Amino acid sequence: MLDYWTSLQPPTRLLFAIMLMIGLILYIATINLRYGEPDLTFMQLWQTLSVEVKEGEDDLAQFILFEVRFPRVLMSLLAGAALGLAGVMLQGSLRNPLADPSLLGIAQGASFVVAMSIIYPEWLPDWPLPILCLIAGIFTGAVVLITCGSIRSTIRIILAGAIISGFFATLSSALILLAPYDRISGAIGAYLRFTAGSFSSAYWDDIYTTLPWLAVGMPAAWFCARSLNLLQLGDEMATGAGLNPRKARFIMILVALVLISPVIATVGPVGFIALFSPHLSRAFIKTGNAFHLMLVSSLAGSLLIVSADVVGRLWLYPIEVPAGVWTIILIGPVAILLLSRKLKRV
Amino acid sequence: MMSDLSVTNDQAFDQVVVDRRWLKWRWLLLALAILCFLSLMISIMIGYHSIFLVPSRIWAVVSGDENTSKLEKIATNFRLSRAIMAFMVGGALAISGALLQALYRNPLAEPSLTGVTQGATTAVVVFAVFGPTIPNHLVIYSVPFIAILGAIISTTITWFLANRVGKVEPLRLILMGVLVGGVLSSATIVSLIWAPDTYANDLIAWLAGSLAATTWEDVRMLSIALLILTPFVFLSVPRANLMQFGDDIASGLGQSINPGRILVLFTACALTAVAVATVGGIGFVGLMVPHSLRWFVGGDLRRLVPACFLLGGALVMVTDFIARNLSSRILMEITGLPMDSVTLPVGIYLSLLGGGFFLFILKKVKT
Repeated sequence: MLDYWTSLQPPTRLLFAIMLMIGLILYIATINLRYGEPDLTFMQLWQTLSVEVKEGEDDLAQFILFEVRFPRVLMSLLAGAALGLAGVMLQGSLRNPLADPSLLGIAQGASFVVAMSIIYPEWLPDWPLPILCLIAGIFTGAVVLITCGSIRSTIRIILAGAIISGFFATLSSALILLAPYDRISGAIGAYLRFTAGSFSSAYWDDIYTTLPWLAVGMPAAWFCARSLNLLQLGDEMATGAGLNPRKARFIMILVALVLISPVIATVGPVGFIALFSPHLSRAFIKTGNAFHLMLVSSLAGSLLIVSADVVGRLWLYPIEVPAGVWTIILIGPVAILLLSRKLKRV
Repeated sequence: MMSDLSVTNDQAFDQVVVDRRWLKWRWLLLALAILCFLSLMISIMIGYHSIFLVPSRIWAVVSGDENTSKLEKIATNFRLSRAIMAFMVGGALAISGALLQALYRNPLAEPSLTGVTQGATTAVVVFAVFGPTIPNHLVIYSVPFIAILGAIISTTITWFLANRVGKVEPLRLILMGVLVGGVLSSATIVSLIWAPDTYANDLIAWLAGSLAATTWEDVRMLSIALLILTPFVFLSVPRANLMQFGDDIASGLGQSINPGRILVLFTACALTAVAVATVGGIGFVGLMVPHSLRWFVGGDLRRLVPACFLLGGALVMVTDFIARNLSSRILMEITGLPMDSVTLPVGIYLSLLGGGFFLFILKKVKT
């Protein structure tokens, strides 16, 4: 079975993987659209989706579907695609199998900014949240890279990132403790949900915020794929092929941050997706080609998040668990186990 | 004859060197003791509501003089219990760090970086949110056991993840500890979602490491726990001392490796867990204190551990003194933002300080 799979041509494997993933995503997204309060049958779902929304008509199922469940599913797909893609970019450009926004401290830096914007908006410039998150991400990334000096040591970077993320997490909890009661009342739960990464309050607004960023970031990532392939050969080879590794790295990290920031600003850092989906897709399609990896990894990210959201929404119904919780609790240990095996010689 | 003489000379020389080290150590210990006493006095004398207590009044309260006001009694009691608590917690964490560093032969090993602290806090929070309700007067005595259990489980997991090739490399261990700790602290935050909002706030403050709610009962519990653990520390120190040289030399010098390792691991975990159980997640004390002391007294744990106890205690006591008196009123005046009138828990200051310290020494560690 495995021999047969590896004997196939890479494009065939890619095509098969993409078709399988899209099929799974459609299946799980349909589940997510159908179940909840009220449950819909497949026919009802189809009818509601295909019939135009009529003005003034008071159809609860239609309202819930279009205003609550549909944007939620869409948002989880977008977030997964963005994070999966960003994971490929970060891991490839830093040549670090552990690169992940939460492990590099970027996610906590951005979360701190989000906490600031909830509690003390007057201290931040009046810019859209994704831009603030982007700035925080760039700042954190720069601090991590400067403290390590070089990207040579895989583990050192991750350790510096972990410490800096702890630093920002500490600052965030200090902020929560200091916040006057009228500004934070009821928001603690919301913030905790946010730090885990939750889609329960994803509406059309969030999609409109995210889309322009992804419209810039995804094509930019696609254009970086060739350089990413070259960087895998090592800096000397890449320079020989006419690439400036330093500049390429800088651009790629920037593109990854552009993809990550709107997701963190709207739904929060969904843990381990950017770490796990590139590894998953690499293991699945058995190739290091960045063009293939990017496609499969963004689909894998969408699949992972939409499944985590289904599990979080429906398993312990009526209690809703943020999707990020399941990704951390279910994927986290698996990812750590795989990585500890992978890092044998590091 | 000649050779005999030279040997005695060498031995004499060694003796002098060793004696000088121990002599230096005695002076250092004395200095640390004075430091502890001074910080204890300052923490009792100065405090909130600008109640200033001169040493004679403190003595009057402590010695049970009838001629003291109620206010003086309350202030002394409150500050004294809190300072003693800070001292014991800091001492326990610093010793735990020194033992872990010897055990893992890793200068970066630290309870909060090897998954010990997170294991303890996660176990306590999960038990508090989901566990069975236990009678109020038993809570304080049951929490340490849960914390020790959690700490040992998560340390073992970290150890096995890092130990895949039969050898544990320094940075790899810390990496796995940080990853395991990260997953565990997410699990902690997740379980807070099920806790009611007011309760969640308390638990967040506890997780950040707060001494604000210290009572004499906490002090009694922690001192009993530390007394029970003292023989374990005495047994661990010589064993851990040999472990610093590596397994080969340790077994060559007649030590059985695994029982010793388990003993040291248990002692380190238990010291951290009892401290965490009472005050929450205070990190980096076990990193900063042994590191700075090793510079003065060298790596011998017989000298390092007592010095760690004193300096760790003093560090947490002083930081808590600052945390207690730096109220949000001062921060409010600096930033011009509305804030709740609270003081931040000591753990926040310590982890900001320790994070910087860690980044500073990370560059120096060789892979």
